[in-house]
Amino acid sequence: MFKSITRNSQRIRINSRSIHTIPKLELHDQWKTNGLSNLFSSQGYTESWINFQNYLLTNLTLLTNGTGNETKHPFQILLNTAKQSTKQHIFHFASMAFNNHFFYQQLTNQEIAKETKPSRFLMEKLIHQDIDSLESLKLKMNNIIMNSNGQGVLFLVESKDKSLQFLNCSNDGTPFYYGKNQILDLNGGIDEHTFKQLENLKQRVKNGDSDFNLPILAISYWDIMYIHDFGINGKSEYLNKVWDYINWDIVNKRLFQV
Amino acid sequence: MFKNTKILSRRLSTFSLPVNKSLEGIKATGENFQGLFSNKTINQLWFERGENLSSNLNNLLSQTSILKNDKEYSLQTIISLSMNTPELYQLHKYASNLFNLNFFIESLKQNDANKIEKKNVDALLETPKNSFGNIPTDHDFLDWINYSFGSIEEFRNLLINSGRAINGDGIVWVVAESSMSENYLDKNLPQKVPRFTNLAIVNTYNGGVLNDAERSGQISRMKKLLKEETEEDELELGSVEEAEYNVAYHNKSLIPILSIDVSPRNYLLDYGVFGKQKYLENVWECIDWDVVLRRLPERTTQLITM
Repeated sequence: MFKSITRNSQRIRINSRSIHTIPKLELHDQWKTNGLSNLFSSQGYTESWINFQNYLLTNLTLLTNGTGNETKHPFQILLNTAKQSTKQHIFHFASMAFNNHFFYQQLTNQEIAKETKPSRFLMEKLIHQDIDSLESLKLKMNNIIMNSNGQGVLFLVESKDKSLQFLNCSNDGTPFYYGKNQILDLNGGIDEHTFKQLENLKQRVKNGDSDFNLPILAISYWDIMYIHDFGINGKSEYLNKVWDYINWDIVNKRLFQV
Repeated sequence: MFKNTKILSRRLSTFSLPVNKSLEGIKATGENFQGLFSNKTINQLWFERGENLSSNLNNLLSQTSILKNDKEYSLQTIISLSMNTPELYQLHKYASNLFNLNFFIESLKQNDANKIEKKNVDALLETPKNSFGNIPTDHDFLDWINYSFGSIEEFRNLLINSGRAINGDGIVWVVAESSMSENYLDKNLPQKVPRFTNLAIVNTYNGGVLNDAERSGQISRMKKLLKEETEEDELELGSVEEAEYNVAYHNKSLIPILSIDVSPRNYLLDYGVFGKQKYLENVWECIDWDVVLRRLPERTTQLITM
């Protein structure tokens, strides 16, 4: 019996496969040793980027090993799993890996960030949301986040008609598919607006609607972003700082250019 | 049932964080909460966050008119009162978060056999160990656990795995479950005493509360309300789903006997992002079963005589 196993095992062809690794950020080496001045210490950066991303991607590798998602990128996996109710544990890691990377991509050093600003094109679009300055954009987004419970990422998205909307995705919600935005919290009292959103959502899923939202800006408010540098209750302090590190050149480029 | 939480009663329309003697001691001496939290973490989790929640709650309470000034309200009552009212969403959140925080911390005791340690990526590949201590000694309680979950090992595994399944904020509860819904009790048993036959594990997310009997049916009520506005005079019999929703499994009385807060803030500082499993294993060793037993309702077992 043992012999046959050995013989069999010799016949097994060993496939090599790639594993998910952490994307390299442009200023990674600098941030790893010095952090991002007042936003992340080097420990804060290590925990919220290196360790958190590593955690998400290692789990993703383990869960997709030997499946059809094995060779796909996190972005492709999140799109692939978003609609499948039995693959939500995989969706979580793929979507969060994407969100965290998307958030980090738009960060830069304070001195560089100071030189950039939202384009006139972007600000013109924001006027339709009653936002007339960067200051009021900050205020509005910080306010939404302070009134949110638990973990999440607040997105500014460009919708189908090229207007801008806020999308407050709880936990690992993704802006790319309305069925998995996770914007509703049904824990407390449910008002008419929430109910209609829920009904609308059901109808859209039934109709098989497509989603054309594209994220422009993301502010992550997962605990891990601020817990090491600002403490368990440091959300508002973190939110006041994070805006000084947004590289608007990158955000501007994410808009659909005419 | 909430005897242990009466400290949270309302006086002069304010709530304050209950005094927890062992935590006050930890704060004064600067020591760790042995076996679970570093001093820094427990300070922020309990004192800072707790005071934050209660002051926010008091703030919102002073602005609402749901409460009569001459009456004393328990936190539990405030939670039930605000549960169905969308305008009081934030107030409800602060109240339930405060209640949940106290309920969790109250049932913990220090255990210096555990190590508080940061984990690295290798922790994801470790096989979970099945050797553990802190097994409850009460014979009847153990019997009930065995009846409901099979064995203490299965109970512990289910508890830890339910905790791991929550990705954002959330709480794992162990509850005593009534076998009959409140609707049934109303109609059939005049004394309305729920009978608790089973123990079960329930997850709640983002400061949700467990006993949401008052909450259930919100969606169908709203549906009815809006439907009446648009399609009048339409004779329609209730669907099977509706019947099931109303009778079969909703508004059963659940009595929480133990809760574990698995939100990231509890383990990130001491165990790191890879340390959730270790944190949960440590929590198990720190459960104060005496507190759990005090919360336990009377068990109803079926007696079959031939």
